[in-house]
Amino acid sequence: MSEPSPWKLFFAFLRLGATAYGGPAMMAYLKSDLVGKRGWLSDQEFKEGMALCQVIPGATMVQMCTYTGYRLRGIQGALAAALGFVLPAFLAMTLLSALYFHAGSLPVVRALFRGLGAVVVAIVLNACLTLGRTTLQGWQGILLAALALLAMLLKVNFLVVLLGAAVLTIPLYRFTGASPATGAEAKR
Amino acid sequence: MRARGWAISALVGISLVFGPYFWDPVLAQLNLLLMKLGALAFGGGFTLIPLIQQEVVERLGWLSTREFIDGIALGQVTPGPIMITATFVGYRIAGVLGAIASTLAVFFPSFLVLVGAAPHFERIKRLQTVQWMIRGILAGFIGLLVFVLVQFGQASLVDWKTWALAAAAFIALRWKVDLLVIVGAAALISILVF
Repeated sequence: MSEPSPWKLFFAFLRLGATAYGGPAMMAYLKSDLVGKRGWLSDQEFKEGMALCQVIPGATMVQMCTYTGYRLRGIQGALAAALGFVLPAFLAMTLLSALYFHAGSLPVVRALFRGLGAVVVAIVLNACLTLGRTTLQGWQGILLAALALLAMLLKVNFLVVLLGAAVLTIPLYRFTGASPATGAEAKR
Repeated sequence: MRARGWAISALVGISLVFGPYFWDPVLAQLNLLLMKLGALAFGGGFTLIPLIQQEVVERLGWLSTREFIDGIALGQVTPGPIMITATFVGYRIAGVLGAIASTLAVFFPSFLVLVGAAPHFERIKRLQTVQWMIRGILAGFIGLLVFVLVQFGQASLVDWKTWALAAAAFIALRWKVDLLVIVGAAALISILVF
């Protein structure tokens, strides 16, 4: 398999980035493109990449593209893949932002966003449940989430909250013998 | 080639922090902040939403909750990741230049982490403590998300119509209706009803 040039990577991921709509379902599309059609990653490599991308910060899809670029062409490939994938989203968002801040006060736009705001609430609720199902395994996780919420209500700085939750896991899991199943492997 | 890659990455990072400073100190502050938040967005990127709400909306007051919610809505109709909402925030604060800078800033840390961690993942995987801590951070994020959910609810759900629309959208999401379809339907209903 000859490795694609950074430019080829850039344009391949540009195309993916322009068509990547709607969360988890997109992952299957990404896999069929990268593993099936192009043969840039093996099934095993894709799986390993997913495991990695789920434990580190960042948007999973962007990270998977970066990972693919990295596997094929090192840091240059990673950069080409990431830039290509994010560029369409960036252009679309900049354009929409410009429209929003210029026409945002029109009655029809206000009406539009009144409804879309309600949809955003539903999306956040859905994200709570989805993320909760994969991370709140065992009472320790539930306790930590509840403590975090309490701390937020008491106006504790969110950095302290997240760091506290991270550090508290060590005594919690050590002395109560949590299942060693990692978040990454427990998911999908 | 590897050394050159790292050199380029380092240069991008340094110029992201110090470059805008000469242009507009606010932009530099925004970049630093978004890099911090981008480095913390564990769990697939959605967690950037509560982070921006805490830092940019609540603490700094650079945009209102209402505007931020609208930005998230726009992020649903653009392709790509939800983290692109940072672009909207950047545009609000410093126009097109702000949009460019904030996009680079928010994705840069996770890019570095990936490139840095990928060769060592086999070893990292076996560190039990790291696994636990990441689980702890994600559990903490659930708390943050619930907190933000209430804030968003207070800003968005102002009458029975908005409650009904949110409920309908939630049911549709659970039924795995395509997100674009949900947003499109909601947009149509909003223009007719409100």
